[in-house]
Amino acid sequence: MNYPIWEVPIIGGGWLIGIVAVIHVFVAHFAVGGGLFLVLTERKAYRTNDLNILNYVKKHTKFFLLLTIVFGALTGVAIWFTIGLVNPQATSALIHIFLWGWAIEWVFFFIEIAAVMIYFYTWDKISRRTHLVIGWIYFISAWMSMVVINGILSFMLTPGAWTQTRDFWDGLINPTYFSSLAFRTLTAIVLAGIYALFTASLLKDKKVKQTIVKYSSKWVLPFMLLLPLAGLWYYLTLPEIPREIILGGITFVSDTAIFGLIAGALIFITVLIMGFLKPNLYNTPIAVFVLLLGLASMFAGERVRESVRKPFVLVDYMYSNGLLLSEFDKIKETGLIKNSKWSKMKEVNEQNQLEAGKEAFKLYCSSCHIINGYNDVKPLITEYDVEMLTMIISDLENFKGYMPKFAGTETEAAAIAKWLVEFNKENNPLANGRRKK
Amino acid sequence: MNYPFWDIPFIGGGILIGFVAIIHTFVAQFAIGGGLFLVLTEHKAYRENNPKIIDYLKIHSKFFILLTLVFGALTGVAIWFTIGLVTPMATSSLIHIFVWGWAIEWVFFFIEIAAAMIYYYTWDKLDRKTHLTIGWIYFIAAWMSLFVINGILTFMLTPGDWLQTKSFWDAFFNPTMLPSLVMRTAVTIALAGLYALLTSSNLKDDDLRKTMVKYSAKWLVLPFIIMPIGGLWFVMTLPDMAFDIISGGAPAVTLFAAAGVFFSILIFVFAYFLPYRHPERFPVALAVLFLMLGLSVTAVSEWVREAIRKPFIIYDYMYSNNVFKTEADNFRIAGILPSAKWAAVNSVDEANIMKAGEQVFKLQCQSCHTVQGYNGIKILTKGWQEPFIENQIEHLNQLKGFMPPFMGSESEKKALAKWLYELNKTEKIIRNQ
Repeated sequence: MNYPIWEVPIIGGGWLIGIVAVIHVFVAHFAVGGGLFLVLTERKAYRTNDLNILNYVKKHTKFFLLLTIVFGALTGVAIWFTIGLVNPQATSALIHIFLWGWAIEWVFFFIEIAAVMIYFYTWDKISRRTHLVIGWIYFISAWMSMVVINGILSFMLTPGAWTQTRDFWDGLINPTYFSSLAFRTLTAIVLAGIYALFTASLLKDKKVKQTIVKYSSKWVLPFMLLLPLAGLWYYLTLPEIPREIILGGITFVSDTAIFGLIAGALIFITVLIMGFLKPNLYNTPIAVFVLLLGLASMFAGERVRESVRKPFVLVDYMYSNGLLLSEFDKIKETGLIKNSKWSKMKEVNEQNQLEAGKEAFKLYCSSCHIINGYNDVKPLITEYDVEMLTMIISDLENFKGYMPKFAGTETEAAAIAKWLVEFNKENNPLANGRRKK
Repeated sequence: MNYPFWDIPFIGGGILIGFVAIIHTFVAQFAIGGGLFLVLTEHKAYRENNPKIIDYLKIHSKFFILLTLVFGALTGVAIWFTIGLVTPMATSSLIHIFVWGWAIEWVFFFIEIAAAMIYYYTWDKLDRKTHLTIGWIYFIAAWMSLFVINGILTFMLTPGDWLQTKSFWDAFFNPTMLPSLVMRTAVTIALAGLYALLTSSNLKDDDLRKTMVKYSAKWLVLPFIIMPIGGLWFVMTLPDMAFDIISGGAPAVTLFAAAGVFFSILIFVFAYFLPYRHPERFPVALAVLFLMLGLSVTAVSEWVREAIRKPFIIYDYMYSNNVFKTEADNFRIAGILPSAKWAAVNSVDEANIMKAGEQVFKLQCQSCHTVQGYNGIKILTKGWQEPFIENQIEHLNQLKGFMPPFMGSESEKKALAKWLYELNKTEKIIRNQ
């Protein structure tokens, strides 16, 4: 409760992070797998002494550099901006828990950038061997940055023994660490192929184009077949509740997962038939189409991963709204408003009840419920009266397992209920009896 | 409560109906637009005096009758089987309310089948004009069957004045009937184009393939203009609560509606860049991909239409669990078990409380919730204490606008609460510490 609340209208902060982050990871995974693609393809060109492939790799490097270093880095920084503003507590906690992790990640990122720059600007200027070594340095450091970040990301869902030990390594190498790393590494390789198919489709020479398309599709197909296995492994390493949620416990999470699987299957079919079996058919619109399907699939996967983490942002440590579990008892005693450094008021009384209710709602609920926007609370409470709403707020975690336990005082619960009902009366036409039986 | 409950494990009856119905709709709507495609393309062939197009149409019409008459009719009957078994009360109501509607629809369907058969078997045997006339008869009959069924389908969401008047015509010409008809007609034309892309991309002759692929892609233009308008009109005529749900009240529904729009745009945009701009390079596989995207749009949009109808199966008339709205009050006093003709127990006492609870769950909840599968109740009630469950059941329709109110006696409520509580008791995991 140390930071002001940033209200993002209509879509809300969660979606803002989601949009920025999905776009970023879609490029960032490519930055990892694409590095391997560059070196292995360059080596293939030397081995087969094929100038056409070499020319293609050079072109592809330029695209790669612009997309990953410029756009990738920009969107990466954008994630820091958005998470820092939307959920400062969680961002701060992650920085504190993984301080050296971030520092190491930053070092790898720095090596990555330097290596790819050198790689791009030294084509034909240094010996083939040295150029390849630089390519390998790039790929290894890019993958190492995934090795670190994957630990932090998977920690958010499965902190494992860290909850007791508070040990950096327990947090980083947590129960879903390896399965998630396997899944993301495979994804990175598949994306390398999907992006390579795009640049290959731009080639003028038909014969070269066919060769590269066929070659690139081999980066997609076998690894895509392995993805379900890695997915299953990941699923098996999840705690029981997320597993049940995915398998139908929350219909909308299962539906999203199925949506992601379908998009993935469509990619596989398209690349198999038009990339591998009949490479002469592949063209730029199809390539863009496959990229968009990839984006959709990635969106679904990341969305499922975020959904099953509720009611936490850091499981067993911090609720979605930024409240530390360790502070829960203290706040429950003294109240949300009193503990919030940026509140306009310092206590709840008869005069300021409505205003305080609004403030407490903002503090505790607005990270997921956007007034007049996504997951709006108005239609959800159309039929409620103050008494029932107070009861529900006091029993939030039972009401819906994915909502956090209410940390405010009884007075604050009543104030929120009162404000919600009043606000609903004024702003929700359905609440005025139109829908009553 | 006159029928036994058919328990479908893991996916539940709703998904089963959805699965069968979406496949059927995807073919049945093609049966309509595809009819128009056949006659207009035949006209084009005669006008341009291009016998190659006729050759193509012969192939396409074979594909067409096999898919629509055989597969379409089979899946249509499958819908009757599944809805009859999963929701017998609602099926019976729809039959009673629209008995002549169904009869007329059946007549049109019969004309449709006969016309399609004649059309297919009389290529080169009849004069052009008669053959075209038969094609038109087919298309008009097919569209008329859409006209009738669309009235019945939209009635389920917006029965309108029928609730007071109980007049067939009020039920049929209900508030969303017209926008939905416009929307579905546009969809049938789009599907005609998508399916035609499949058959035309399979042609051997390079020139013909190029011409027909490009021509088929053009069938998507009109729907592209009409669908957003029809969709918007449809949304504007929705009941308040349905509008509420679609516009953010249930995030899942909003997201699915958005996914439908997203996939539609993908289809239209890529239809322009791929088959329209580059008809010479449009392989069958890509046509299949387009069809799959079309199927996804059908699935998502029909799912949204069904989702916004909650808590009813026939709006303001029958709840999703097949209880008449008028019966609800009576059940609250007398209980639901005594009137459940197929229930294993007909009253609650100390000895049978668990069994009674399970039975009440079947009757009241299982139309939407499975025990441990899709929308599984077990995880939804995890961590709930018995009094809390009772309170939840008491306020069901207030807690979630898309759930019906609980319709049972006090003792039935207690039995249900107990059964739900015991479901999780052995492995109570309370996530919130």
